[in-house]
Amino acid sequence: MIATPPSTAPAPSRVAIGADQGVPAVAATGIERRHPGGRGAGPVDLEVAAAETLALMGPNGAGKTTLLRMLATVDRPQRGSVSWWGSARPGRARRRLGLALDSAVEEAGLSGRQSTHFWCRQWVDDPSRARALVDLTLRRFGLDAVADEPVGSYSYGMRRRLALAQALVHQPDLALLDEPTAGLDPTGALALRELLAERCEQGRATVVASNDPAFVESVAARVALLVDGRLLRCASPAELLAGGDATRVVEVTMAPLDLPALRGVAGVIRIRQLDAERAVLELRPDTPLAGIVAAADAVPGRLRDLSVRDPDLRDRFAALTAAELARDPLDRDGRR
Amino acid sequence: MIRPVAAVRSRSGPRRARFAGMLPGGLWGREWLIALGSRRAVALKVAMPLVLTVPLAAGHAPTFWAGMLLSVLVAMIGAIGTGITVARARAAGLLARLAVVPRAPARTVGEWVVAAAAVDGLLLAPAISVVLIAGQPDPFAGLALVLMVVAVLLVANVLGCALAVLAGSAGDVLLDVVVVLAPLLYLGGLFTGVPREGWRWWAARLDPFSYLHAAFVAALGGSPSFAAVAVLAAAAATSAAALLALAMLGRAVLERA
Repeated sequence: MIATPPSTAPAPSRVAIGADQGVPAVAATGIERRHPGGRGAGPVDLEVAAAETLALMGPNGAGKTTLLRMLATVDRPQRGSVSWWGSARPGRARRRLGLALDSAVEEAGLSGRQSTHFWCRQWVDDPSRARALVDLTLRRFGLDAVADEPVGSYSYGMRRRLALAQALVHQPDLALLDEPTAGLDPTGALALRELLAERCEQGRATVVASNDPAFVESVAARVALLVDGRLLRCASPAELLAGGDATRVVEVTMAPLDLPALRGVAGVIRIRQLDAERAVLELRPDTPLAGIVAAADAVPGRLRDLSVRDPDLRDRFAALTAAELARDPLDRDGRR
Repeated sequence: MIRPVAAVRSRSGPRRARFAGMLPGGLWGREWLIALGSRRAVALKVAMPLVLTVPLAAGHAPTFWAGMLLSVLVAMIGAIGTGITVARARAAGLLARLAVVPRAPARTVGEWVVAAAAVDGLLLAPAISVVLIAGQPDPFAGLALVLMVVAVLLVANVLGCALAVLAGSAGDVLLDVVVVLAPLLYLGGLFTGVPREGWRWWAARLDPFSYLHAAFVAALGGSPSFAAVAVLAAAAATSAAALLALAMLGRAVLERA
C-alpha cells in the first residue's frame, strides 16, 4: 500500500464554485442521436446536479455510450439541446469536463506519467501544478511504481486505471466515465467508489455508464435506466428497488436445471437463467420456499444449493428491461 | 483523504520508456516522443528512404525517373503516416478525448499534423542529404528542393488526415491514399512528363507534386520543367494552402471522433 500523498499535493480547486449554486452541471432536453441502423439514444431529458453522481444503466446497445458522448460534447445531438452549468456552448463546457471512454487505448511507447501529463496539460497551464496533479493522481490509482514504464507493458487493468487517472487528473467539475469498473480489481473499484464520493463532497458531478449493479448502488444518487435509447426510469437506487413487485430472490443451483418445473411453482414472478446449473427466481412476498424446494428436488439429489436474498439492483434492472423489451416494438416506438 | 488504490508493483528491473524524463505538454511534444520512442522504428523509417535513394543517386539513374520515384516516396510517406495515425486514433478513442480538450479544433489538429510533417522531414533528411551530396546542385536549387520537400510533406500530411476522416479503418487509408495520390502524381507529369500546352500544362502548374519532381530533377543534375524560383514560389504557396486547409479540417476531424 502506498503512503498518503504528501502535503505538497495540490489542493483540490474548482472553477467558479459560487456561480454554480443551484445550476445543474449538465441538462439535456429531448436530445437524440440515432445511427443509420436506428440504434443510438433519445429522445432523452436528463439533469445532473452539480454535486451528484448519476449512473446510466441499460442492456448492451441501449445507447449509454451515445448519450455519454453527447453529454461530453463529443457528438452533437441531432435533436434537442444540452446545456452545461446553464450555458449551451460546448467550448466553454470543455474547460470543466473529463472523459474516460471504455475503448480508450493510450500510445504504447509513452510512459504512464508522460501520457497523463499530456492530458493534464490540456487543462492545466501551470507546468508545476500539472506535475503535482499527475504525481498525486498516479499515486491514487496505484500506478506510481510503474509510472515511467511504457504503457505498452501495462496489463489491461493497469490501462483501465490509467484511463481513469487521465480523465480525472485535472479535477474536472463534470466527469463522464464509460464502464469505469471494467477491468478494475475489487480494490481498484473500492478506491474509485471513494474517489467519486469525494468528488460529490467537493461539489463535482460525475456520470458513469455502468452495468455493475453493486458499484452503481454504492456510488449513484440516481440511476437512469435506458432501453432502446430511451429513458425508462430515472430514480434513486432505493426508489428503483422499492418499485419492484418481488420482495425475495432465490438463487437455485440444480443439476440438471429444470426451468419448467420451477416456472410451475405458484408465486414465482420471473426466472432468469444464470448458467447451465443456476437460475435466479423472483418471488412474491408470500411464496413458501417449500414449493421451490419440492419442485427443484423432485428428482432426489438434483437440488445442489438454494440461497435467499433481498432483491438488488441487478434483479430490478433485469426485471425492468425484460418487461420493456417484451413489449410490442411498435408500441415502444410509438412512445418515441 | 482517499485511500489510494493498491499499488501496482513494478517487475524486477523495470523497463523505462525512452525519454521518460520528458513530459509532453502538447501534441507537438507528444508526437516527437512517440516518433523517437522506438529505436527500431526510427531506424526503419530512416533506412527505407535511404535504400531507395542511395542506389538512384550512386548509380546515376536517369534524373526524370529518379525524381519521379523520390517524389512518390515523399508524398506517400507524408500521406500514409498521418492517415494511418489519425484512423487508429479514432478507433482507439483518442480523437473523442481530443474533441473534449478546451482548445480550438483547428489548433489541436494543426499542431498534430504539423508535428507529424516535421517528424517525417527529420526522418527523410538523410535521404535528401544523399541527393544533395550526389547531385551537387547550386545552392538555390538545393534550397528549392528542401523547401519543396517540406511543403509537400505538409500538404501530404493534410491529405492523409483528410482521408482518415473519410476512411473506415487504417487499412482503408492506405488504399484511399493511393487512389487519390496516383491521379495527382499523373497530373503533375511524374509518370509521363508535362506537355508544354493544353489543360495538362495548366494542371501541372497547379500541382505541387510537379514542382517537387522538378526540384529533384534539378538537384540530380537534370533539366527540370520549372525553374528554381518557380519551385520556391510553389513551396510557399503549397505551404500556405496546406495550413489553410488544416485550419478548415480541424473541426471535421474531431467531429468524426
